[in-house]
Amino acid sequence: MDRSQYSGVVGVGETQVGKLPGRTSLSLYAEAIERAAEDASLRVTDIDCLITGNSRVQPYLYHSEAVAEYMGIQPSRCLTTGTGGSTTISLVRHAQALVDARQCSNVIVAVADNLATGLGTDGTVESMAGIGHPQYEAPYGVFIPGLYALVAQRYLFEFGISPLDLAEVAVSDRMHATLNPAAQYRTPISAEDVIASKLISDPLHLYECAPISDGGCAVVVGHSDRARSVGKQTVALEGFGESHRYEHLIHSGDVVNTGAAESGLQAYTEAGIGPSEIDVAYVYDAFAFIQCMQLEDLGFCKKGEGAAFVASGATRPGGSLPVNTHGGVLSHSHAGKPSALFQLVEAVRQLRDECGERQIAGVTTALVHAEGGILASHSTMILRAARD
Amino acid sequence: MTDKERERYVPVPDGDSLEFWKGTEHGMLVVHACRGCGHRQLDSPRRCQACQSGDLYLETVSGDGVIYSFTIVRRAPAKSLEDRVPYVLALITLSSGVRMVSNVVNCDPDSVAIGMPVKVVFERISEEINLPVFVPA
Repeated sequence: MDRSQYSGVVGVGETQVGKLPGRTSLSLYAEAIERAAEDASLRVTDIDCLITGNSRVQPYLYHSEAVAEYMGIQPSRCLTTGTGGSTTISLVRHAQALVDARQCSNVIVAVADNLATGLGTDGTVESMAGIGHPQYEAPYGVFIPGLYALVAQRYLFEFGISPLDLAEVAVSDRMHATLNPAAQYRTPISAEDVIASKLISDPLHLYECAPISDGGCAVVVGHSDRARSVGKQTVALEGFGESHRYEHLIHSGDVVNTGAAESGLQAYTEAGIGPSEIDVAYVYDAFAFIQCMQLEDLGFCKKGEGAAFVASGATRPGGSLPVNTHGGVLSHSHAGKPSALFQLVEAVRQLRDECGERQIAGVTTALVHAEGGILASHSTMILRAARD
Repeated sequence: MTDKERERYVPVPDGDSLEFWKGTEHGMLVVHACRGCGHRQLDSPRRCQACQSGDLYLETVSGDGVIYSFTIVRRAPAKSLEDRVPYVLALITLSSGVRMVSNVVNCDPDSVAIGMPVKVVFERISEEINLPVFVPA
């Protein structure tokens, strides 16, 4: 392989997150894309492939084209996807394949939405109440936290995990968020605060469930040679893996062992490294407990010990494996699809040494892992700092 | 609140689920069983999801099972469910191995536990749908 030229992430961009009254989903998309293009020293008219993740508030059949039209650009390729957490990470690998095949030069993957002001908490929860298998699950009053709670309860049962240890995921995320001026929730919390927050669906408390936010982000995938010519770093995508075992919980089988083990193994194998060589990790946490399960399945600790690993302080700022240095889904933001890509954007910023107060010293290798469905689909990506 | 918001979700039988819902009209759980490997599945009459065999037949399975996992839903996810909280949502493993999502009813939600034996009963929620739910055995 020619190491002087490789494809990777050459630009990232984010909007503000939180409650952004007056902002439409389209305007958040446009801003994220403009910022990512600017970060890559590109004009938005240089984008030759635009991949978007649609919107719950402003959905379009041809969403990518609608975003391009709004921005006044005509990329030669447009693709609207319906990806979830994990598969949004996968889009970055698909974009890389387009670049490697010389089909495109500057591919943008963008996701944004305004759930907080566009739908509101009740509207968002209600819009998700129709999930589950339409014949065999939906008639029973299922909703996303309830379905995840079914996995959580079994996980606690099988491993005798303390709810207080589980709550430490939210605490660790919040510690990182206090160092990130961009995060939506920055007031420190304790495990006791988490347990004292109201029960949504046993055993999940409010502070263990994703908030609802406005915001968006975008990444540019391109060639290192062009990036270098304009003085920009390229972050290399060294390893990647996916697992897709099922869609509905009735098919989940043994729920406590997730597909993160398979996606992680594929990514480690391609990158030629193991979990001990990861400097910083981004592990999806739309619900606190899922981060523990995925940390185990990604090999950072033994099965059943994820909560104890987090409670030990390992994932906090200054820990042996800082996790979710932006604050994670629980404290940075949850505008829906953007959450997984926000993990990747933060990983790129850490690898480029741009994170100010929250910068982890000497970061060269980052792992990004996201899941989708009810732990049904998993994607793992390993990124490395520029080789040049 | 509009009538629409009050309306409970009612499944509409389709070509894949027709035999299941026909079975519930007679108080039976009808699934697709595989002659090749013995696997039983709820949702596809087409091929076995375990071994890909196309040799499937309809089988009435026992409504006895155990709770694999459960949750007590405390916050109503939709207006139509406000008068039902707290309710028990459960993953149930039937004695035939079929996994179902359902509700556990006619009991104190706080008495429900993983491993608890349950049995099916049917709740008529519309003219067409006789919904299988579970009670402690």
